[in-house]
Amino acid sequence: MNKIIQKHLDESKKSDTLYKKENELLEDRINTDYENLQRRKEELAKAESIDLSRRDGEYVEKLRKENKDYLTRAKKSGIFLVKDFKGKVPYFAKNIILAAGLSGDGKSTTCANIAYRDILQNKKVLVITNEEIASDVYNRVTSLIKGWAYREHENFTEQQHAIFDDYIDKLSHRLTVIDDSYNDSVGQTSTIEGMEAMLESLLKSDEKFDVIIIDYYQNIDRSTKNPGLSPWQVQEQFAKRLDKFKNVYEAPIVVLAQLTDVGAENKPFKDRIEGRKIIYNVCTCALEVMAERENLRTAWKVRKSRWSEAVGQTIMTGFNKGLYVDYTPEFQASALALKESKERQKMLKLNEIEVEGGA
Amino acid sequence: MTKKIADKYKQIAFLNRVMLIPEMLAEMGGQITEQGLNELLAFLNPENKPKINYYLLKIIEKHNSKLSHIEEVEEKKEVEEVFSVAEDEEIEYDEKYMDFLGIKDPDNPWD
Repeated sequence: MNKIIQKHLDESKKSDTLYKKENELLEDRINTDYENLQRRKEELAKAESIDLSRRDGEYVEKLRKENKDYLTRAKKSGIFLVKDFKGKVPYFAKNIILAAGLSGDGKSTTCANIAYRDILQNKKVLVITNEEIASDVYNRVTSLIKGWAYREHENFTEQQHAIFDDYIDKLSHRLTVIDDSYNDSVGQTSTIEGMEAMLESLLKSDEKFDVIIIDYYQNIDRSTKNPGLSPWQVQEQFAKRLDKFKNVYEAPIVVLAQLTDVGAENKPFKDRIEGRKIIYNVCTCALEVMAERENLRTAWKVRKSRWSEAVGQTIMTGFNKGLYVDYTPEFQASALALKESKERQKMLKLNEIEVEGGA
Repeated sequence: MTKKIADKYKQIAFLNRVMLIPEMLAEMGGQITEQGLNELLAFLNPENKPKINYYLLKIIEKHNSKLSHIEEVEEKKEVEEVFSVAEDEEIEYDEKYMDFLGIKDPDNPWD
């Protein structure tokens, strides 16, 4: 065949492939936009068809039943972490508890502590994490049980590795962890589609959880369907979806979130939440977590509480080998003694260095 | 007077009336009935000047939140009563599972 003809054929094949790809992209974009349009239309139609005069027996009966169920659940409210939170944090279904702190103030520790306390109380716990891999969450809980610090992973012995392995099995009886690469699909817990699909499957599933922990809010920041969405748009969509979900799922939801310290002194709590602040509107209780490592304690300031007068109150918990414990006078005394002993050791070391330097 | 100017006067008069409402309400002790709120809602119209709608919305929002606040306080009281009733209850730990995990004391699991 003539070289020129061959060249033309090659180019035409190339443009044909490109054309197909371009068409595929266009089709995907149009379909996504169309789905969004349909959804908006449905929402609008629902909003427009609202019947405020509805007072039929079935509707009132449904409301009464919902109310009764809710109050029963409230009466059986679980205890968030330790006893001092009782009556301050509504730890029962239809509540979203937002626990927010600065980076390093203990989001993952809080997640492990809630899981630890709840599985010991015969509850089934679901951790949805985009911060860690699933095995890290299990290992953190195991470390709480064993009193190990979960850092410097390279220093763990073979024996410790075996214990971690054994406890993944033991803990999994009551603790389920879904991470970002669950089902080998990256984005399970960091994309709006992954999270929405998960909430949907939770509603359909026969397996019911008593507590759901989401670690953490700001990492839900992208969309696979609409890559153009900004993180705040994704977070807004998620917060709205979660708000609806909490009304129908039979478990409290704990959302861990990050605060920013930029200009913190002049900003109210809501404005210090990184990313879209709407999560504050949908939560029924908001706690600011402030770790005070030197004093072996954590301060939990109640920033919002829909059901109690606890707003503005600070609850203290002791910090014992990674575990949040009651901040009892005994704990305070032992923490003080430990702090003083550490300071003495530090002084001794400094003296030794000075003596060596002088010699 | 052209129609345009007449409309403008009408809108200004309307705006004055709307702005008077808060003062009237204050004289009445800040009370507004649900029916009153619905009447205000009926005034809302996309064809109004944005400023008029703005004031209307402000009034509605303010008084609507007052109404819903009353409902919320009642609801809050009821829920608060029930969910703090068991305040002194001890946490019930599952001893069987604790044994399975090798834990004696949940506050000192490593001992």
